[in-house]
Amino acid sequence: MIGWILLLGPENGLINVWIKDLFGLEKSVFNIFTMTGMIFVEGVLWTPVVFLFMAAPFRSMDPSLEESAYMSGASVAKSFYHITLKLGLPSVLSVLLLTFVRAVEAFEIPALVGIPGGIMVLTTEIYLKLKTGLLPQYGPASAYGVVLIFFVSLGLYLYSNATRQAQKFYTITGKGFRPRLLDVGKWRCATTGLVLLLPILLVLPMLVLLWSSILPYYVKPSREALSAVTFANYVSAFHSSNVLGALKNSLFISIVSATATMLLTSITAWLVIRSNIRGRWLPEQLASFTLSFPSVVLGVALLLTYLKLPVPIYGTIWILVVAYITRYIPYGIRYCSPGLLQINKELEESAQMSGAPWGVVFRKIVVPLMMPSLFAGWIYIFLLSVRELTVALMLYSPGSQVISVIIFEMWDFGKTGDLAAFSVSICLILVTIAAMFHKLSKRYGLQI
Amino acid sequence: MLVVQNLYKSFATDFGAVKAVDRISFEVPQGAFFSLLGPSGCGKTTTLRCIAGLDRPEQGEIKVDGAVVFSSNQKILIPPHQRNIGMVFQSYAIWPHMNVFDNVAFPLRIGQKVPRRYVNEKVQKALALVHLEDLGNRPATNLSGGQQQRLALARAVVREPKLLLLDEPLSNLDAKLRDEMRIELKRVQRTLGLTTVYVTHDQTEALSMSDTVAVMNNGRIIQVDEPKRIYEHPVNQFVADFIGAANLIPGTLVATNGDGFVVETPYGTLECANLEHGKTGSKVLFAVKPEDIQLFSNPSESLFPGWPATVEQLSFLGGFVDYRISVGDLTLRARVHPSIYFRAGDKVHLSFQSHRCSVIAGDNL
Repeated sequence: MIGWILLLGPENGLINVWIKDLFGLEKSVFNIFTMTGMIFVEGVLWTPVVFLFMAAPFRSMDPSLEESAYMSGASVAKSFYHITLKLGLPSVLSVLLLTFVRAVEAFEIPALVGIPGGIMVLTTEIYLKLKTGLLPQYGPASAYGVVLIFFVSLGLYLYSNATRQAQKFYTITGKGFRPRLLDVGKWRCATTGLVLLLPILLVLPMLVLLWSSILPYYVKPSREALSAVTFANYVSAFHSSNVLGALKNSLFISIVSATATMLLTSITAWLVIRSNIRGRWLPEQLASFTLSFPSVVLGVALLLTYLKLPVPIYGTIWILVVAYITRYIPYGIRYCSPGLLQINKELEESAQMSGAPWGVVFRKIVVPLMMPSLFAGWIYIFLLSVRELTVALMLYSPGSQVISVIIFEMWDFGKTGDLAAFSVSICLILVTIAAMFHKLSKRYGLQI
Repeated sequence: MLVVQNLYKSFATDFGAVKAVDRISFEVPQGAFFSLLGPSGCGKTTTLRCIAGLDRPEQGEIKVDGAVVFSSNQKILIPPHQRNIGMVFQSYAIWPHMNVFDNVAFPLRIGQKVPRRYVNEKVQKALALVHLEDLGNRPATNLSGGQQQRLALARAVVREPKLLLLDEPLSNLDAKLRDEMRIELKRVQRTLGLTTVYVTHDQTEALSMSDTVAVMNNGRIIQVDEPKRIYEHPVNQFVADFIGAANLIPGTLVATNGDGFVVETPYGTLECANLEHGKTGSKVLFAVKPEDIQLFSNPSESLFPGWPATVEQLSFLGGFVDYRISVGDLTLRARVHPSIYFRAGDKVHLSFQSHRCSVIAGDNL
């Protein structure tokens, strides 16, 4: 995120400086502090998440469904559109919905990019109404909140309509399925470009962060600058004790929240989809309810709730755990539901007929078969929790600082070097964890 | 062994409640192979799932081995995992995250908590029974259709259940494999002496494997009989159509003479020895199987009464020849030995083996 500002900032953004030098221009070509800039950065940031989300259902799709489309005379593109995409519709729709909702209620990018550029969105308006001025303006803030909730609820309504006929979308059966690779043929160049574009978009801002992390002050890359390379930023970033504390807090909170959320939501999803208990629709609706609350609103709500409730978690890291579980339950459900829908019911029934009571069926059959979805959901929630800023900003207290708050403070104080060094280290840690998880999920996931 | 009484279950649909199973009753004696045969949507699978405990009937009673597992009057509903019933599903439902051995061991480890030292032995025995003993370490997804079928069967019988339920287990196999598996299935069932309920829409499977066949339609049992009787003496048009592609000739029952019955049809008078339905003067169907029609070039060769006819079409099928014969506007199918050979357009004389024909009720008569 901050990497993109360093790349595309109008004053000394790296790409801008290069293009200026190259063409001898007076003015910068790109300005990130615009609507387009905001959309671009937001989109790029969401791409990997969307990819993670889409990969699991498509990976486990029976290829004969596509192949029968080829044989019916459909081109690759047509069968992708008519078969693959439509079969994946519950997943695609749920991802679309989630991304839309998250983008509507996004706070961090509008705060870092929009506010300096003078472009306001609903969330930043709410934030400013509450945090600036003499008194918090609850009236206008609530009004904006209601508008936000309306848009988000609309998305949810459309989603629930579209997936009502979810029965049609069983794609994992008890029969062996062997996903096959597609020979992209003459499209190889195009697809390779597409596949490479993603990493480039992600790696560029990382590189510029890396670059500024090893320099005492920010300059554009050059031979002279290389001589100034130092690791002083890393030393100073990790010097203060609350940085290490925050790191520990963040990892602990995120791991606990992600695990608890996936556990809770897998059971909820099962109840909603498989059981015929009366009122089984309730958990999903309740969970979706928190989805329609923007983080800003949710943060305040949780703060007030746990100040009043006689549960002694306020001021500890547990309030953040509770907050993240509340926040991410809907996301967990959106991971679990499609995963569960793809498991043929007979796989569970045959376990029942083998003498397994419900708990055992769930533990031995449902959970292992849902593993790809559960792992994907876990990583997703883990990464979201580590990055989460809005709720953390409102709920943290001196002992329970987390990484995102520290980074925000460093940005606020203009400590770009420390910030870059710290961010690079965090990224390394997260990548390591994600990679370990990926390996694990390969071992325990479906052997495809 | 298995007693089903007055079983009733309906499903709510957009068009109101549909009776899936409409108060059916039947009994299956110990060790018997019982088939529920019928077109899709006739309620056979729902019946099976009610026995398994996977679906909950609204009314009736189900007893397995003397124990009530469901009773609407006594408000008893034993959950499926406590019924000790083995089941093979249409999709086989092989768990893809376990290998072959673990799939079969699951019912022993989970369902019965068999001591570990016996698990191995029992699983090997079950795998040997279906000839999969060498594939224990294979991932379950790495099996052919026939092997998955065998695996599902081994898993269903490994803990020696009181009852074995089979839900169209052969419908996903190709024809040759299906014939093979049919024989395998029957062999395993007989070896273990397992009381079995088999659901199928394929009359060949039902007739060849069962001790008793129940033909179902619209949630009701139409006829329960041993296979030979079902085939030779269908009680009405539905069963006759569904079982054997019988020729059905509409007519009126005009007389009962001694041990025979006379049916008057627009094409001529027919005689037969069996009466399933109808009294003198009523509209009936005269049912004759394709193999009970004989073709002659000369009427004098025939021992039975018959009609002059024309060969419309024929297909040579190796062991027999399938003829389409027309009598006026009526087309009949005849199946004759290849030594008797006619060409399309030939004038023939056809005769009915009246002792094998029967008078049955029509659906709309």
